[in-house]
Amino acid sequence: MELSAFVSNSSDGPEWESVELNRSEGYYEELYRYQYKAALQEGKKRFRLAISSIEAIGIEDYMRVGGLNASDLRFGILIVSTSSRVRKFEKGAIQYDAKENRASINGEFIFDFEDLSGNFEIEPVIILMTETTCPLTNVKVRPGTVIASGASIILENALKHDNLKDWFKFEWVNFDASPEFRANSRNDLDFELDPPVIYLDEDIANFHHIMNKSDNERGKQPKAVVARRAHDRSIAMDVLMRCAATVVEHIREQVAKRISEDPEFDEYDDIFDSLRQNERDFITYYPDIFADRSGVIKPRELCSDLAKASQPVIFQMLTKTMPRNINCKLGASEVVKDIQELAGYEND
Amino acid sequence: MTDVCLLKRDPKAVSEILGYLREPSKVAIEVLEVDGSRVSMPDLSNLQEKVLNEIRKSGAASEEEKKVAGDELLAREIHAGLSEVRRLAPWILNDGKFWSWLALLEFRDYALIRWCDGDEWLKDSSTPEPKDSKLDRFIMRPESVHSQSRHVIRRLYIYAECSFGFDGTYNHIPIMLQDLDVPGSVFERRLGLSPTLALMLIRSALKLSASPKTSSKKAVSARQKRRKFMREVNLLLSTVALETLDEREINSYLDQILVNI
Repeated sequence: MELSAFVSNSSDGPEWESVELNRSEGYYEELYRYQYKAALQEGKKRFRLAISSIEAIGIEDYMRVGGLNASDLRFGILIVSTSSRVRKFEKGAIQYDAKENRASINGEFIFDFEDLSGNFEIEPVIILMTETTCPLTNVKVRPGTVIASGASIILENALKHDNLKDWFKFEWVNFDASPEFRANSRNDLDFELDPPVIYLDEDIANFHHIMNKSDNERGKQPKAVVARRAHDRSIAMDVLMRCAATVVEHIREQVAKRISEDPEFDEYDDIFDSLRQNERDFITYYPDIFADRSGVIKPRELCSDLAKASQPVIFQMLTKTMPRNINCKLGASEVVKDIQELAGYEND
Repeated sequence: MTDVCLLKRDPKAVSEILGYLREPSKVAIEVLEVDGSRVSMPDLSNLQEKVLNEIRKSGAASEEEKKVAGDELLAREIHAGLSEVRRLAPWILNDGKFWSWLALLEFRDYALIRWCDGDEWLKDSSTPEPKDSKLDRFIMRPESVHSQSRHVIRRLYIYAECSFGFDGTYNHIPIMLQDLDVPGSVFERRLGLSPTLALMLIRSALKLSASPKTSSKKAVSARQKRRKFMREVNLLLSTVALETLDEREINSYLDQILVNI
């Protein structure tokens, strides 16, 4: 399926400008995001999502063997929003050329920004509308069954930047004179605030000032620079670890709360919704930090897995997997570099 | 008429709620303005009085029945009363500060009677404070269906919205209030976001009753059965888009699950 997105300055005019959907890495299925808050602030009125097929969509044999027509199927998008309390299906079009054994889909879905509040999850689906026997498995398939789905799209009411460093506000603090901050440390974090705040000890700036030397004539880094970078890296690692640990801790806290209310609680699907915005974003944007979860399809499922995990699994994750993931998977990525920069002289 | 307001600060923790209930004068609010004009709704103190009269009414009805009668009246009236807000500022309905304003100030007496066994604990320090889970009902986290469905006022609005979204009437509110465990279990899940599906689920779940203990089987409560039912429906939703089906087809699926519970 091909996805294209557009925004418009007008409430009903034909003018549209193309916008890019951001792809979330680290999930098994394709997941795209669009942050509509920024568009709203720019005075945009509407969002249009166009979905079409360019090649065979993979249900052709199903249709041919099962003797199905296009009228036996429905293409469209499932829209779910918890904050706006929406769960509905919007219809697109599906065609099937039996001679060519070729199915195609297309649909245009328009959202008024004024009607959006909170996040909207959109999933393109092809649904069987008649009872039939699956030609591939011989199992009876009933109306309403989703026989194909495409990349999910999340319309986010957020202003998250692709660079993690832009999520945070930074404050320089004298840690020695501020007992409310983490003892024996040179940085602290408040992930509950929006935006979250990283507090850095003023000594870090002094350290950078002293260690900020240029590379030598042969392009080799002086020891002071190497030391400074190692120091910044440890701050970046620490910040990421603490963000991730905060998320895991809050997930577990939510589960414990539900169990205290209902000892038989065992459904974890909506724990994701109970998290704070920063925490949901962290899971959505950086799933790789949490473990090797290549089988996880969506952020909600990753959260559910974390909620269900036993205490030893969580302990293992916090003490071994997570630091390794941050070091290896994200080691060379922009995330660490960005925080290094922030902790670095750019903030002086 | 009452001007629609919001708390200036969104309460996040039960400790804040406790503070606000002890000292309501410290709750800072702001008046909602859309394009420079205030948005109003029917007089809320009058509505609270009517709801409290239902709850305190003398008669043969049990305490619980009286509370449900008050809930029904409030659900209907608050939904109808917010029509201007839906038209002019629908986003406010997803703002925790708005719902906390209703719960902590406009419907404070109702909220205390309904969920905190009255206000005795505020006057007498030897009376134990309500549990955290009760005080948490004053906080509405917009992204959480669980929180929405438990909020003192928001939950009633949701029942009315579901009924109204289904066929434009409030006729289905009584069935939702028949057994509070049922709407709770539907609306605290994402499957309760579709009015048609929610109502079908409530009707189906109400058909489940407790099974007594027999020589070969343990007793099973209606609640346990409903939980199993909801779990099965959730499982079904991972492969079937019930939102695309009509009432008859949805019921056919639900009946099939009910048979196996």
